[in-house]
Amino acid sequence: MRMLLRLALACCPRAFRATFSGQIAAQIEREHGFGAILACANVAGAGIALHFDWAARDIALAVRALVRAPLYAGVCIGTIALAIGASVAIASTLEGVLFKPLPYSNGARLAFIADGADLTTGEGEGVMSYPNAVDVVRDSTTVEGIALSTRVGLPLLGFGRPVGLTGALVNGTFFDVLGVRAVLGRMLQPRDAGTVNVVVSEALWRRYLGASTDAIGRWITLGDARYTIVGVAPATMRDPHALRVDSAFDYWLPLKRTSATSEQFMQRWAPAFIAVAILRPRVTLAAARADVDRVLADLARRYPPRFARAKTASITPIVETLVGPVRPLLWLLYTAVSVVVLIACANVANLTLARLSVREHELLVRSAIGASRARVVAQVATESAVIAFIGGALGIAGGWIALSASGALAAQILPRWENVTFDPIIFGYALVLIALTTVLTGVLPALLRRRDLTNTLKSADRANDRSSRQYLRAALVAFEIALALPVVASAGLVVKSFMTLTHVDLGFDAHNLYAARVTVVHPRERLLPEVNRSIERIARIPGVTSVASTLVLPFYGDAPYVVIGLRRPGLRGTYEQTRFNAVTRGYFHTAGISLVAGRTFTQADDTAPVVVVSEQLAHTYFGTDAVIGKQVRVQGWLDGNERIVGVVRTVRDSYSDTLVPQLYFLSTQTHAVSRQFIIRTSRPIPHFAEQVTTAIADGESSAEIPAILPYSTLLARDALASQAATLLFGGLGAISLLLALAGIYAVTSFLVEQRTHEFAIRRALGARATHVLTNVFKRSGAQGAIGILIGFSLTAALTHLLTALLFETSPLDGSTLAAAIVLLVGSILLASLIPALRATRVDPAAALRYE
Amino acid sequence: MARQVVAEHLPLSMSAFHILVALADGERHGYAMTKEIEEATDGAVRLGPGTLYRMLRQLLDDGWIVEIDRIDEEDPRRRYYRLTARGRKIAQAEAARYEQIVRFARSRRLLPGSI
Repeated sequence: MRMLLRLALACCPRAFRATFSGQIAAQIEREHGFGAILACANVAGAGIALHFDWAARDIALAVRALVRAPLYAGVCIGTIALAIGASVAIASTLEGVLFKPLPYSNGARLAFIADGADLTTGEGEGVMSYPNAVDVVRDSTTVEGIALSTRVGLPLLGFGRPVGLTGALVNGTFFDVLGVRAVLGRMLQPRDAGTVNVVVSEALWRRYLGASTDAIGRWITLGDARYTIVGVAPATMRDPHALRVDSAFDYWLPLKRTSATSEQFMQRWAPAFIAVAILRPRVTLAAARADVDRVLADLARRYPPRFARAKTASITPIVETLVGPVRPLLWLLYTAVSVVVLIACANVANLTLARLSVREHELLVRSAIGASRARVVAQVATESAVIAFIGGALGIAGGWIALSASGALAAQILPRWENVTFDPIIFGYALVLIALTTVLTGVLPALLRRRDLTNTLKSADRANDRSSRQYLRAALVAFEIALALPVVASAGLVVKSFMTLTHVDLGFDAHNLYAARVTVVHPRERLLPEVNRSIERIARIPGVTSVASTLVLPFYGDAPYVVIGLRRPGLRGTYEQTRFNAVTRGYFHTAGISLVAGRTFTQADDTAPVVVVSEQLAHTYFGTDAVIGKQVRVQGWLDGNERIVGVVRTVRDSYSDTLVPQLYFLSTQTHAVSRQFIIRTSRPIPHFAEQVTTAIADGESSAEIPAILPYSTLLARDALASQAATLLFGGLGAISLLLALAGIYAVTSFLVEQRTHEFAIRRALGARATHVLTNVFKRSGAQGAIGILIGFSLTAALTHLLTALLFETSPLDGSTLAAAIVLLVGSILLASLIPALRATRVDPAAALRYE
Repeated sequence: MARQVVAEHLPLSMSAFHILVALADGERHGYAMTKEIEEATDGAVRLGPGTLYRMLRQLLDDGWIVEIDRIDEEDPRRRYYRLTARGRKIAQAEAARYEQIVRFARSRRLLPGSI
């Protein structure tokens, strides 16, 4: 019983317990049995109710006190709202993109797989040939199945104008491997091979088939053939092509016996398919890699390779491929925004300390009439809590608005953007932030200053504490500056990187240049005359200066890798995978790629074994030697010796692309032709897209609709991530600077006010204005110097973390760091200037009058 | 004390009023208050120790009761309380309010007895 009573009393506030525990004990001891238990429960309940009473009263008092100090309250709330809003928005993005599960039920076991094709883009997307995939599944012990998919752009007919949709040709186990469950009907299976069955997306089903339940068995016309619908795929389904950048796939057709497939397409050396493997349960990545290597090595022995393979097969878990590229950006942003939160807390703590000094008298009076130290600290902490909660609530609302507003832009840059929402976890995170803020800005300062708040009213004692108090505030300011420097420097580096990126030499001229794509890499012998006819018709459009066809469109971002084996002269047997392009004769002129040596293709070259190489290739294989007339040996799409007749500038395929060797063939020499065109115009042409579409279709209504984009759009799309990083880091840098500025201003202002009396006496005794100015600057200068020193060390130590984001910019770039320091020093001086000037304008007579 | 100042505290909560009434004719300690209130209301109002002392805390804060210096021989832990002048005024005002209500009820023959 005594235990129970002690427990019940523990629920009560300490003061209450001190006064009443004896009486309560006396009363309860007269109860027996159940009555005693009830009594204890009553005491516990009352204790908790008392806590709530006092909390409610504190909150009411806090609100009243804050209403009486609107400027202080407004600035604090605004600062916290800004910091927490940014933090919550970024944390939400981080959680949605990096931590939520994949849109496939087998997600954890899925991995992109490549059969040794050299993927120097570093994005790890698996590209495989069909026969290799079949053999890997058959011979390996770790891979259960492989889903193969290749993109196709057949238009949907029968609904007014032809609708340009994107779809894919897939193998029999595609849906099974990815674990997709049908919304209606069934998904494609191995027995559908060679049939004209089709699976449509939920979006297509809703938009064009009225979401009717009898859609199964109906047929639709895609391109020049009719297909029977066997199933509807759920809206959450994503084709592996569309995982990194959100794009809608609307239909899936079985392989073989479609108009777009041909023999060469299914060759062992044609990496024409995006491949996703499902590993057997509980198989480790290392085991899978070793196993697939073994199988591929065995295949290499059985079918002598056309070109050298990379030593290891590339198997990359899907999540890694998806989010790997943006992971550094997100974590860096999160770090930066957390630093901003700390700076904001330091600012608010500073303001709170200043306010405590001002309210000293009031708080001392309160303690003199009996409020315990704990109560006074609690009162101050409650005020900070109220500020933090209001600021936090505003911040959450602001963060939500920011996320919604940036939705369109973010969806293009970040994979899995659709997963970013405000869920309970984020709310919990926000609450933790709010609590942390309260502790840092209210509880700690109050605890540190508690002796002040409950001391006697002797003014002499207070003077002693003043210097230690000032040290604390000065330390806070130095801390803020130290934290602000790395953020500002990072922003500077990211901006510089972006400037460098957008001014880099692309190797071709993107002005007034358009890319028109119908299909990608579908080799057909009959295709070349058709392509030439399209070129002629497009060239006749008024305003078009030149047009050419090419296998690879630079900066398109999603073309499958087109490689050929190249052997260095002198080295026997080893072929290296090299990028190549097959172009029509006008290509270099149209694209604005300058000639460095020799000549480009002429009519005489139509069947001759000649190639044009890029500068990078000439440099890599031949060093500084003359290259024209030399021979190289190729294997793959073409076999044999080729003679080099020209060298051109190396072309970048994307901003993040490194310069790689490139080989150019005439499209007449290989059968690798695709219906892709680059078009240069002399001026903007009205209805350009329609005219090009008409020229390509040439009256065929079932013709595939080309996607036509100006290169300005493609370049901007590729730079989008960089642009976003620049904007976000720039924003955070600006916020940090602003907060640091505000902090310094507040502290200097307060100090000047405190010393007004002293300054007045000095002036009265004849000191010049400049003397007072220097005095003030010396103080803030010292804080600034310490802050910058610490900040510089932090910056030097940490900016290497930014390397993943920087384009040809060193993390220790001297000019950027210097600029950041100058900016901060300038801010410190500026922030100190106004209070300093005020100090000089003190009228000695007026100030002394109050003596 | 101005009637206005008194009026702004009315109506009182049940436990507060009963405690003030219990102290009306002299000082009591907590346990005695509880027992007397329980008897007077035929067990309808039973104040647990938590409720009682929480209310006493409030009444002390408001200045309506004070603790007095009196040691109880039976149990030295007990503390005695009495009404202050202000507390008495407020209790009287509340009682008068109840009387007015009872008079009204009697006039409408809801309760027996003359008005």
